[in-house]
Amino acid sequence: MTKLLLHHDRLVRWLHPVAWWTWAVGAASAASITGNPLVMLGISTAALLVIMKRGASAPWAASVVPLVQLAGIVVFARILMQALIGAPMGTHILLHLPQAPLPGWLTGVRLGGPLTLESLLLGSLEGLRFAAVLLCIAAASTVAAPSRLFRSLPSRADDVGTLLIVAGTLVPHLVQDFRRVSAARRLRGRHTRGVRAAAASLTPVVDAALERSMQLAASMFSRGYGLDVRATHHRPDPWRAAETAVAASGPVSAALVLAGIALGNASTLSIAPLQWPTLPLSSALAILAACLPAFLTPETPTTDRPEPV
Amino acid sequence: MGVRFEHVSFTYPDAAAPTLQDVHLAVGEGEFALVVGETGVGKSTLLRLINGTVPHLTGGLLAGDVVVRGHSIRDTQPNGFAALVGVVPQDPVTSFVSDVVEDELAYTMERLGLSAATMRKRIEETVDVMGLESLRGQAIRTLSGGQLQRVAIASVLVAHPAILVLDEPTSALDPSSADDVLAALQRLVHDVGITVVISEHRLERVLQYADRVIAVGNNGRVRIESPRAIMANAASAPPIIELAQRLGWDPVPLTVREARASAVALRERLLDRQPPLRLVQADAEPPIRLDRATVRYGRHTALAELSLAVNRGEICVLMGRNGAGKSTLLRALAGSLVPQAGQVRVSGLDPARLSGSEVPRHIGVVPQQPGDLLLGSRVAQECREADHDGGLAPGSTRSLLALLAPEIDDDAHPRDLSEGQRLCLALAIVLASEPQVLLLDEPTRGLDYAGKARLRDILQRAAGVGAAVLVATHDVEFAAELAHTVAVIADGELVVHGTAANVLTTSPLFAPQVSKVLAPQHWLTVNEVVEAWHA
Repeated sequence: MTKLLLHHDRLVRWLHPVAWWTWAVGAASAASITGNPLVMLGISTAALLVIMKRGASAPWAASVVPLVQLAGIVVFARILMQALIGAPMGTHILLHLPQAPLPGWLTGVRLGGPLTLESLLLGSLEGLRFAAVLLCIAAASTVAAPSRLFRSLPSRADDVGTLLIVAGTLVPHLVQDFRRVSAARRLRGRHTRGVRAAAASLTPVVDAALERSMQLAASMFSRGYGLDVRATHHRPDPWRAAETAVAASGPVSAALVLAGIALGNASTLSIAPLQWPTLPLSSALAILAACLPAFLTPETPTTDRPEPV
Repeated sequence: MGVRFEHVSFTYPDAAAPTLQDVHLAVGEGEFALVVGETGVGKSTLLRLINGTVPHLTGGLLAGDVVVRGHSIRDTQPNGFAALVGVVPQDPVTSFVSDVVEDELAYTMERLGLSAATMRKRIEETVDVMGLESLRGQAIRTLSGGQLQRVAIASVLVAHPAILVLDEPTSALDPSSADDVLAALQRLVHDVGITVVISEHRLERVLQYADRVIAVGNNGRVRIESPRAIMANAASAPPIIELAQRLGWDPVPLTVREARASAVALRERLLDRQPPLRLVQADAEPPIRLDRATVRYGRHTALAELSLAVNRGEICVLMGRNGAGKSTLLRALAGSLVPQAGQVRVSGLDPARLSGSEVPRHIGVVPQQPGDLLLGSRVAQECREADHDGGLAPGSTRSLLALLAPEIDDDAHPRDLSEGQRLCLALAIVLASEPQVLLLDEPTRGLDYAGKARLRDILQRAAGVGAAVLVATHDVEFAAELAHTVAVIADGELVVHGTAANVLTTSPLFAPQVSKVLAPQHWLTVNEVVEAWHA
């Protein structure tokens, strides 16, 4: 199938950003609809695969470890919330946490108390769902930066793309300016720590940022910004078989999950009675569909030299 | 016709006097016009009038008119000039709107609504003309200074403008990057027939390319003449011109090649004379000392086990390409960053451990943007605070400033000073507490020849009373005037540290004009040569 799709598409090229974001929204929906932790894990894997195999130029693509760690933190935070303040449920008590007395009108809310296996599982399920959605968005941003998405849209949305790129350079500039100004304060023998020192450094930093925006505005204006003509696009991303395949795979994945639920053979994590889920065919196909873009797409070009100079 | 100024006078809002007065001139098609003038006289204003960013974005009072190919700035907004006038700002980084080189090149054409096929063709042409083939797919943040400047030029060139306007395009560049940029401009003038209007302080870099010189005077009056006519009696001029003026050569040579032809007799006469030696005594405890210092930013090594010492009374000039590690070295000496390995000592102390008023007492630092040092809202207040910070007698800083820049007004806001005046104020603050170590990062950026001569005198006086001075600069002529020793670094490693005569005259890249004219003899400055000639 790979051969068939890529027969006319052996280029190393960027895929159309709309295709990637359609895939991401579809896959994230599949993860949100399902009640099966195995499907959530599968969708997360699909997102990580896309980042690893097609996110060549992003600095974080080289190692997915931090992303997995982030997802882990999300899951853990959700478990913690469920364990501490969630509604009491289930009968399998693992341990007793000290419970804080709350006023009577706060019915259904508790702080601490018995920690059950059921609440722990429910917490991980919700955490996993959120992590899967997060990874899908991260994957789409890696292979199709939001600025590229906006640039591929017609006319005015184009300026939003420019805005995002400019904003993206603003923060590093601000950090740099702040360091420079603090270093200069130290050279004058002033304090560089504390709120007052930070406040004093802020004025020149804001001044510099304003100055830069003025220069940017002048430059954009000089280069034809705001002209009353219909802006065009240089090398617009083409829409080919690979784009159709990628854009379809996300919604197909979500549709398969929905179909499973409608047909009544979707396996979910059940807590009363406690039952481990299985992976029925429709769910397995949903995961497979979400994973396909990592393999069916042309490779991504690189924008960085191996070593910065 | 390229561009025509018709009796143009311009006054900024709230300004007492006009910046430009009755400017009446024309620059022809395919001409290379160089705008010169002292710091702060309105060179940038003149350039920005060409596409109407002044007055459309600044406000102010305009008399007369500027016309480019029949379009007047009075009834066309700057964006209407996008296809006629390409403006390259002083700091290209602030003008970029994309993250990848090729997208940046497309921006102007996309705004102009050109077809995809046209854009594709023009980008290919421009990439070839500007030598960007290997960079086109690259992320902009990974480019070096010279590459950024060439991308900035290319990104306005794609619109096929009739005029290219550049504001000091080489002021932040090392000599070889500057040569790349200027050679590219030269190619455009010759092969494409584009008109170039460029401002530049370091005339020695640009004069050889110029067809016409536009001289902006202090009173806002402007002359346009041939380079030879302007240079024959210019008060401040690059070394070969000064040499020609003082030795009475006629006509004045504009290139090193012409000067060599005029200097045959001079070379013969100097054959048995020696340039004066610039001696410094070696110290047992040099005030500036780096011992195998290593600084890394992530996976990039900025300083690689670098060792360097500067003695008392020594002025050492630090040279090297953009990104070679010069600023990092100065930051390590100032204690603004701590090396991962090795040792840095300033007057025997660890600079990173100094705090409070100890810092200015031991280390005087003038950063690349001297304005960073200025914290007050009045010149007088700034001086008082410097006295207080350094525990000095009241008035010390102010009287020093009066020596450096007598014209500065007590009530002026530091932000409203010219670049040269700001530098003087920063220097006064730094020098007032008489630190034994002076560090300066690119101090001549934006300074005219008179300003540079004053800075040289100040630094020599400080070294005369025992300070160790380290100056990082790309300005080879300034280095030739100033340095006892020159240290060259590349990729964070020390390549050579030796006497100015040895290092500067033997390097094709760092050789000052005088030494190129008198090679193979080892002369560095006009003064040395003229004195030896009369001796």
